[in-house]
Amino acid sequence: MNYFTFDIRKVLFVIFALGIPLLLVNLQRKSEETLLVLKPFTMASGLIQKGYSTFSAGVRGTTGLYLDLIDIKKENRLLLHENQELRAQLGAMTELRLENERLNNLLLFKQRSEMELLAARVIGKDLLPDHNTITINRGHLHGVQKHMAVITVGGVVGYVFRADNHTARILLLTDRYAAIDAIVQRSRSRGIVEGSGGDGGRMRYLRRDEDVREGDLIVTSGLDNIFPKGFPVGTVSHISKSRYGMTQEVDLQPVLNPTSLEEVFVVLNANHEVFTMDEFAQLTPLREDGP
Amino acid sequence: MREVSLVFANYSLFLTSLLLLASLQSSLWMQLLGSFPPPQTWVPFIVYAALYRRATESFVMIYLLTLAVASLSAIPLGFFLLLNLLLAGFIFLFKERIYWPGSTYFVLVCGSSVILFSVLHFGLSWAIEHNPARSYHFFDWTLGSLLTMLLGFPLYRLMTWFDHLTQKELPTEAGAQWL
Repeated sequence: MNYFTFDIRKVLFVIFALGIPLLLVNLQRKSEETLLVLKPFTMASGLIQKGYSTFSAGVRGTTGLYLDLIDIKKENRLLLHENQELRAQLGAMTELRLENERLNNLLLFKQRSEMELLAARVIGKDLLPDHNTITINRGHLHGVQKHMAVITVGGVVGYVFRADNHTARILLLTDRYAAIDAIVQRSRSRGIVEGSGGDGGRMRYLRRDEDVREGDLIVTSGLDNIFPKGFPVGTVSHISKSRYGMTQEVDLQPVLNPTSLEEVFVVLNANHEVFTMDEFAQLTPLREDGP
Repeated sequence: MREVSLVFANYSLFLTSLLLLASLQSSLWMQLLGSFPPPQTWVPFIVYAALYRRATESFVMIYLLTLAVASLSAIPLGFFLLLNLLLAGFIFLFKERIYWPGSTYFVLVCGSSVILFSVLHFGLSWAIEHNPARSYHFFDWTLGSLLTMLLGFPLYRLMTWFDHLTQKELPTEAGAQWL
């Protein structure tokens, strides 16, 4: 066997096959630049990777959004629940604040007045819509008697027409059966205030030559020491005189809406207290809309 | 003796449930819903007595029912009694002409009775009272009538159950058993 016999084509193929990678290795070591031959592949793989990356980001984004939505939904539910709780608390707080203001007004009024007053809470109203009565949570056992006056800081409410041991029924000023002795504050003309069954009342038995004008304040006369004298009942809203009658009829609007009351005072003893408007204003410094 | 006990039990059940419902109407309803018109809870009891009792018994029952609820209103007892008896009379007359058994009839008569009571009250007030009614509470009447009709269905079931419980027989034909 002759070891020195070469097939030159084979030798050249081997040299070429080994030479190119060696040459490439050598070239790569010398330069940081990407080989021209690799550039298409690099570019292609880069694009593919970028594609994958975008796809992956998209998938992650969508998944994240979906997961976030679930969280948001949960969070929203929690916030709604919390909001409802807070609203309920706010409602209760507002109710308490208003009640506190009302009771504070009542307390101030009671402290400054000379009358013997008994505070009571309204617990019921009339069975029939055509009558205006309320029930209070005070009765005989608390000193309440029939015909006692019922007032609040704003004015006259009515009077007791039935008293039991624990409760009493109050005939409101606006009821058709109610009758209260009253005077026109400006002219001191006297008449009887009767309810109309709706939300107003009328002053009757007022002589036709008596001086009364629309807007005049009607106050209690204080007779019999049931109501304090000069306590507001209502304001004159309309006057009518028949052609031949001896009296004139005066429609009046009560100073307060007795059907919307929650707390009232029963006058156990009026002590002959007399109210002038100045005194009334001093006694009710916090009065705004209600009692 | 057993019959007397059953009658007593029947009346007691009717009066107790009437008192509970009427007190609910005049107290709890106001505390929960303010001045929103309530159903006239006592009317179905009057209607039931007028429809499903013989005339004499219904007369006694209406007396008792009126006595039970009169204290919850400012209306004088005599006037209230007169109105309820008149109402029952109208129901008797109506029953003689148009009647079919069942809760629908009862409920319709309940609704009409609320309106009729208010109209009778208004009319009689003008006839006999010194300071008659001047305000028409149409909204209250109408809404009260509708709510009373709604209440009529469960109340009919309740009252027939009371009768069943106390072995009370219902008259089957309108006007067949006046006395």
